Amino acid sequence: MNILTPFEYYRPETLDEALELLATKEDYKILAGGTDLMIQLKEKMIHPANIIDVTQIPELNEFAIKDGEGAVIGGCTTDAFCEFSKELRDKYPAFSIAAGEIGGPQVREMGTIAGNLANSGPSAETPSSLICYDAKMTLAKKGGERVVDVKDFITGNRRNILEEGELIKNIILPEPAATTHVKYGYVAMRRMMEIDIVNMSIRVDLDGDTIKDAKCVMGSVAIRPLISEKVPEVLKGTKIGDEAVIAKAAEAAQSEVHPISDIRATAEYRVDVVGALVRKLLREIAAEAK
Amino acid sequence: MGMNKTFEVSNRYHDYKDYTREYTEVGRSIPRLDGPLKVTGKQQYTGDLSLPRMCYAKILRSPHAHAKIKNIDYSKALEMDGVLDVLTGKDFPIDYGIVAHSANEEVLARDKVRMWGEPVAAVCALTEEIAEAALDLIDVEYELLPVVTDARKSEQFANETGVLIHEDKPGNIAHQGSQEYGDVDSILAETEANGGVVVEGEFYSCQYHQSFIEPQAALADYDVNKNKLHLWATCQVPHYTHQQLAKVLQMPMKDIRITVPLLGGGFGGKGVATTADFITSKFSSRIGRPVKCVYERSEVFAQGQGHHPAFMKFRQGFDKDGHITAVDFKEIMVAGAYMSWGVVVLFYTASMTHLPYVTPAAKFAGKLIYTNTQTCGAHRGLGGAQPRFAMEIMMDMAAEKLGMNPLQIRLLNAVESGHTCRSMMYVPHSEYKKALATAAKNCDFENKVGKLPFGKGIGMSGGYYISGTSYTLYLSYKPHTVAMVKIEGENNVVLYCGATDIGQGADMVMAQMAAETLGVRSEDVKVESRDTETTTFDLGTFASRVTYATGWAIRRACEAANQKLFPVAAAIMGCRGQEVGVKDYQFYSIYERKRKNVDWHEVVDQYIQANGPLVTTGQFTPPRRKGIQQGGNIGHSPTFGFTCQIAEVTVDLYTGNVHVDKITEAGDLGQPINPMSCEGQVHGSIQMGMGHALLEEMRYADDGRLLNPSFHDYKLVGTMDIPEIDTEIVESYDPSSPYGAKESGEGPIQPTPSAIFNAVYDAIGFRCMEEPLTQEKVLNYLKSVGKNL
Repeated sequence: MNILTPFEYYRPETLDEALELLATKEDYKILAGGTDLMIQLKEKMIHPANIIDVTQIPELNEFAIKDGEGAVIGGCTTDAFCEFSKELRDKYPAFSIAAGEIGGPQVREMGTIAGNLANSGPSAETPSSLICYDAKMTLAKKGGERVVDVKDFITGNRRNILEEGELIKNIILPEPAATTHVKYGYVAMRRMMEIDIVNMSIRVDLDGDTIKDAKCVMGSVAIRPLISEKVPEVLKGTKIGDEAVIAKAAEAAQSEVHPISDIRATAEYRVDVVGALVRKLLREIAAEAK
Repeated sequence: MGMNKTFEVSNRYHDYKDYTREYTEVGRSIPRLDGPLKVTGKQQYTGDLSLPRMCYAKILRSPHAHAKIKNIDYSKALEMDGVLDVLTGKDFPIDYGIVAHSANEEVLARDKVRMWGEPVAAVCALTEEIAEAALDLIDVEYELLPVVTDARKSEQFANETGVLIHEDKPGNIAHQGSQEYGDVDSILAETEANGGVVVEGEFYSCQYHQSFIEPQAALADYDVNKNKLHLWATCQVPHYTHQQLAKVLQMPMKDIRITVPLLGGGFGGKGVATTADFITSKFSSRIGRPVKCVYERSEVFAQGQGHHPAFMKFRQGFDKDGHITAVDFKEIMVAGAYMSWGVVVLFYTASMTHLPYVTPAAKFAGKLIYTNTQTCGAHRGLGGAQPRFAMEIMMDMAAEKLGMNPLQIRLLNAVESGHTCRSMMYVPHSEYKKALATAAKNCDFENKVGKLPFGKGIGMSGGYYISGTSYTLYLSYKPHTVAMVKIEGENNVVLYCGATDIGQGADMVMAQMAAETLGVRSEDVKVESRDTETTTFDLGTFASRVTYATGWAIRRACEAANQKLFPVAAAIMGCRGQEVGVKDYQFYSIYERKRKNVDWHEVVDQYIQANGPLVTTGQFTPPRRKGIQQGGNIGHSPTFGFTCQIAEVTVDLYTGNVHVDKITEAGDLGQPINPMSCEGQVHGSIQMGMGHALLEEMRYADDGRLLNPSFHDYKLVGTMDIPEIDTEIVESYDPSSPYGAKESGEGPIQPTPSAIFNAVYDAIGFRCMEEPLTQEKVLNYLKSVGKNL
């Protein structure tokens, strides 16, 4: 279905104006790029009476990054900006690379980081790396703001903790240590415009060549980003690059996932490539750490 | 044997210019004249057109793949404000179909639906929004029937359940056919007894779709005063749609005019009439206003008309030196829900096993089977892509068994000019061996095959295709194509020809051919095409026929014009009429060009002042052949183009993903009319062929729902996946062809999948025989041999 049903369109210029609209309008959807929203509208999956376009609000387009102080990325920062920002690519490469894998160039010019998070699709590219970087996010509504961990934001397939009248103001990335390595990887059928079959970020904190701490977050294998409990247990205290440990870590991740079969891949294949991605990313980190 | 070789292969060139090949317009790489309009979005396609008082039609489609229609209540839709009319199957009692004698498609389903997405009713309203909303108000009562989606089980399903997809087709068998050229079983037994090899395989070519960018659309304007219909449609065969409209609407053909604006791709998928053509015409005749209908992408998939999937069992014999002895081919081909081109495609697959290698004996037994899946149609490489996929893999299997390399075995068997197949198909011209050797040399094939590290591979495949069909889809002896040239001072040259530019560049190529013979500039030739009323007759764009067939018609029309102009020029120059040449807007004596020449416009003016208008026509009908039996007339062509492709791949040992690094292609397409366009055809073919090899497949749920009717889920190869492509047009000239040209748009799609499959075998030892070669299949193989990372 290519035809849009009628709706009222609002484009607030300030955050306060936006929060006021969100507080007063019922039956609304926030447009933060629209690359998923427009599809849902055309497919008649949703029929909102009001569309509130927040992309022009200065507070949602702020970007700050400083040595030693991490980064703050406004919610309506485009995927393309995150892909091409040299500062982000240097300090948070896994996140920058993940942002560069969303859709195609046109989608990345329109789509935003807040949109990718708020759409909360199980195969979304950016959540796993943001979680690995211990990112937080500021949620704003009329009368107050709150800061939450990105890991707690998405609760299910297209579900999250955003309350009525609330929007994502920004994403806060803490400064990573020099001994922290984060890698992003994905499996897809082609090199562009893909919905990932599986995606994954792995973080390893090293003390010399010993793994002090680790994280593994997987996308497209559950209704929300799946944070592995077993992979860190397997990795902690081991030497980076130990092939026996890598094999065990891959098996551990595979034991935790319960993916579905769909048009893109069977559940069996997804389980297979969860193991493959763990092995690949850990080997990449080992090579980088040398 | 007394064969009737219409075109002998010899130096029998048509005139001096063909002999010397001193062409000025043919062979020029002219950028497409329609290119700037297309890339800037200014080109008006059918869906962009608008007429005063125009209304919009939308189609209600079945959510079920097989069901009886008990009742349709559209009273609420009719009551809706802005709704003008509703149509159902009752309004269309006559079936349509491209092949007249097997036509069984219903414009709107009458008593039952046989596939998901089948049109059931249509609404006409003042706006598209109202039409869409009104669809929800139509209440269709269905009684669900059991569904069969697997053609291999369809016959058994019919026998066990007693449920038939078409009541007049027992066993759900749409058609079956067999051909036997030689005692194949005995020959294969002898082959083995004499130290040769027989390779066997079960292959599957899957269902893929053309995925043209422009969706089908139709705009009908019925003049209620004159009772005449004008339809603008996305159609690559206006003549056949013209016939079907006349039949379904019960109107004389003379009262119907079809105009085809430029098409945004067709690839065979627009080689049929569509539901939109019929419903817009009917609505317009009933309400007296223009009516437009534009498909959504899901409707493009629902209309189907993609590639016929085929389950193929092959046995092929090779003697101990590697010569092919015989081919045995058993096939179950999937028709989908309706016939469309089906019977033609079935016999094409049989015919296509006889080339491009010398094949002394061949046997075929095939069934075309109905299933509750999308109707299949004419897909680029029609009937050739299926057997070629299997047989090029078998060439490699045989080479391995015989200890030969893939190039040697192909060179040994490749056909040469003047070859007559066992089925009496005649190949007047072939530079296939040159294409094979050139591609191999250009990528250093022989030093790479079998020698690359694990995970990297190289694979070769050959292909070919017809350059037109010798027979029409209905019995007729009229010319297959007609061209008319009008020359006058005010408009220079206007060329009329009904051939359809579907994006392949026919308009450009036709202008170049006319300009060559008339001696004018291609850019100055105005081409009037794609209209059943204001241009001349042409069968349509299919079977890679346009360049060859229109080429002859255009050449003859232009030569007829020259016959009138040459004497005038000769008189002015003071030489004999027979010694006049023409080129670059100048008539000249071929013996004394510098001294005796005259401006082209001056001659045209003198002719018109003395004689009046200068209008000439030319026509073409392909030669027929004697001694054809067993349905073997399908596949006959005036000539054939050949190609070789070599794929180099890297297999991701973590995921099984196959990445194509490079494709090296060398093609024998005769004399290219516009080399740049030919290269574009090859690049486009490779992009499509890669999709067929690796990604594309229309997939169905058990209940017959098409699971991926969108580009979200039906994956095409993207720009980032396109490898380095190295093409070379080998030196070639087919004297049977008007300007030495052969096809270049359908042959090059055929080798791509098997080249990639052969390369994957070279890379990891996985002999897959089933499209598409998904990463899951590759990874499962890698796991089974313990080679995954």
